[in-house]
Amino acid sequence: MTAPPIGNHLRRMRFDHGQMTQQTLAQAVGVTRQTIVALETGRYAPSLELAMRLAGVFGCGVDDLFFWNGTQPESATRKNQ
Amino acid sequence: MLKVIGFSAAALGLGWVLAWISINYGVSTGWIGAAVLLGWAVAARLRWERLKQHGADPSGPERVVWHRLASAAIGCGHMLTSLAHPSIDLHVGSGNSLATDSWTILAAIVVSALVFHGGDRERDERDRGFAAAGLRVSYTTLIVELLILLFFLGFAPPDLRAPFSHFFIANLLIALIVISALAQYLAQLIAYARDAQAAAGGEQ
Repeated sequence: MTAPPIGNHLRRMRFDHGQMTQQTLAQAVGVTRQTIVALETGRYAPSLELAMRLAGVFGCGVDDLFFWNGTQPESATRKNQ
Repeated sequence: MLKVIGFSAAALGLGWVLAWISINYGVSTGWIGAAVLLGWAVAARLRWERLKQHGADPSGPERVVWHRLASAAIGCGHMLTSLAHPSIDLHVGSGNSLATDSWTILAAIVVSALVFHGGDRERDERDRGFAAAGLRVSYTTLIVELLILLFFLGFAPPDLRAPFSHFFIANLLIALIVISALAQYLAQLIAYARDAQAAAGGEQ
């Protein structure tokens, strides 16, 4: 199973927010606890909707919670320069 | 993954054994299948409740797939064994218990589904992804099966097609649908198993 090229700070954010449990976070965003586990272990990249829901729970932006972990496409790299 | 394949094989084998006993010894075995299915449903629920304490339990949607796989595999094993004897009349009250056995197993599937009821069964986007992969496998399986059947019905020599009455073909079509469903649940659970395997080194 190939890991998606998107990393996240979910685990750290949970602990920073009163040691929130995976179950509590799962209920807050409407997914199963197993999906939170999959996200935290980097095996699953969420939809934009779920990413925004998660960011909403922690009161931060999607960019603060998720980051690109793979190689940038060449065109994107050129644009950023 | 081996667990999923082994479980399917065991459930298929159970369905085969039940029909085989029924055909060869004239004993009604549907109630045995029903008892095994119900017993397994209760045991699985209790086991998953224990695993929940360690956070290692399957999600609600995955539990539902396990139940569907068990049901489809037992039903499939039973149906295919019955259909392998085209000379046997599969109507209810035709001197054998195969039809009533099938209906008894079907009733047990409904009751055992209720045993699973109670957990959160709503799929989230990850479950929907696995379900979509399962549906693709199911669709492909069904199309391949139908193509084989169509060619057989159209081009096989008449003596080979002789036992294929409308009633037999109707039962065969049900069996093909059950096989494609079985392929779907198998693919879904393999996807869950691969995911869990990848998480084995992950953190809680």
